[in-house]
Amino acid sequence: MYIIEAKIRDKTQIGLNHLFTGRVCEFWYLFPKTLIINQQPIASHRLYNNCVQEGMDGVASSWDFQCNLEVDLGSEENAHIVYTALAVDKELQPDKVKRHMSVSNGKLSVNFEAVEARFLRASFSAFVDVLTLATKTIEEFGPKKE
Amino acid sequence: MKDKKLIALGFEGSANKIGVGVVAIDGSILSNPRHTYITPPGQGFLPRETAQHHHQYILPLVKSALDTAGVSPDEIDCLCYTKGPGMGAPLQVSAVVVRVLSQMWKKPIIGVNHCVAHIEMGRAVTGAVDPVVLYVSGGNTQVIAYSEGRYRIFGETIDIAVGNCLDRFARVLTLSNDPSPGYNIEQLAKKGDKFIELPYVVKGMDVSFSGILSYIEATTEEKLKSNECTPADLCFSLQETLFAMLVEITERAMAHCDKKDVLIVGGVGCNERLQQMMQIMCSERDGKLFATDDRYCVDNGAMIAYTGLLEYANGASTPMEESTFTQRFRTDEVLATWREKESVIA
Repeated sequence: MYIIEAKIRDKTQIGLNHLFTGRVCEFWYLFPKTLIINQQPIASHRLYNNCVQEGMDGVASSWDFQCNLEVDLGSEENAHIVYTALAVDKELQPDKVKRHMSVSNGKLSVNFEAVEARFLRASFSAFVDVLTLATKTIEEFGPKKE
Repeated sequence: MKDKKLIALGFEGSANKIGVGVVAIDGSILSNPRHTYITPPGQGFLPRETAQHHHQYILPLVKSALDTAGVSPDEIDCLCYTKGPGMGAPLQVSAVVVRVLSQMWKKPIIGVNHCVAHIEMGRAVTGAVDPVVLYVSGGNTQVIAYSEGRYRIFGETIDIAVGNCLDRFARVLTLSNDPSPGYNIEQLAKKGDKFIELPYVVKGMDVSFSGILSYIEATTEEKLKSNECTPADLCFSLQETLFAMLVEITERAMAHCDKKDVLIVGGVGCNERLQQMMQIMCSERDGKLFATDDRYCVDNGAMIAYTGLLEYANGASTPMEESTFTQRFRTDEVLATWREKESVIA
């Protein structure tokens, strides 16, 4: 039931994409039914700059490595439950990784920014693990089962 | 006014065990399933892999805990989880599930201190009223007694925990980690009779184990090669040395606090040799030893549920924004409000 969209921006063009390949494969296993994955490595600076401008509304950012993740949780209520549960845990290294989350139309959008690719990967990877756990908990014990 | 007993669902996942328990306020345990992450011989458990294990087992355990207890989510009064101390990633697993369930089931959350939970479970199971507590596990070694609203730490390890010392020696001998490395050391030690002298490190009411571990790690291979002793002799000698240190600091704390009884809790607490040595000391001081078996000694969900329920019954709860986890959470940070009321009655 969940649609996942992950967009990765790679300013330095060092092939950040492949860092995420393992994670993206895991998405396929977890949500095989209606999965849409949209990976967009940004190859040129011009495109990257466009992206940054798109993402500029509200948040000024200068960190090189970014990743957006969008998860459709089926309902506004579910999206809020997941948002509230995951917002409690702050990033462990706020000077190296920033995470911004928002909810709209039953979708949870998460934006990661990091100063180095490895911090982005670690943070993204850990987040996907707990996100998966939270959605599985809803599937298992949510109202539809009762 | 409801005449129904308060019931809690508790989640424990601070180390290599994930457990979910259902407990009522009178201390009756309705269900307490758990699953242990067992690594191959010679290897310890690491945070990331341990968290993966917990991810895999936690939801089936919740289901099994509710089914065995015959309790529906509606009948539960609060959700309790281990706030700390422990390894970060594994702690997060319980915290995240509890936060989601709390919103779906509209139940309050109680964050529980792992060490305090061991103490309260031990007291509930054994009926010990006001003992000196020896809390010995893979991650903690503390001598604790209740005084003026808190469980105070009178002595503790200044480096690694006693269980960590035993587990890591088990890795040197590549003993099995199933059911636990400590259990296999205990069994092997029964066959040992030659005592090998090891460093003995007690500093006041504190102990230190890392030097002993380094010493035995460095000398084991040579001693075994030269047939000076057997692996069983080394297990025997290590246990005798470590446990003698623990008995010594426990006795010092008893004299200091003027208390007669001892309660042993934590994973190492189910070691029968430790219980035997402590029993000798207690009987010489006209005190009683209280100990439990592996069902309650070893980390479990029921101990978290029971301690959380005590706090809940005294009006405490953890708001969602504060339902964090922390690797460091000292035993004496918790105000043991339920104990204050007990002492007024007594």
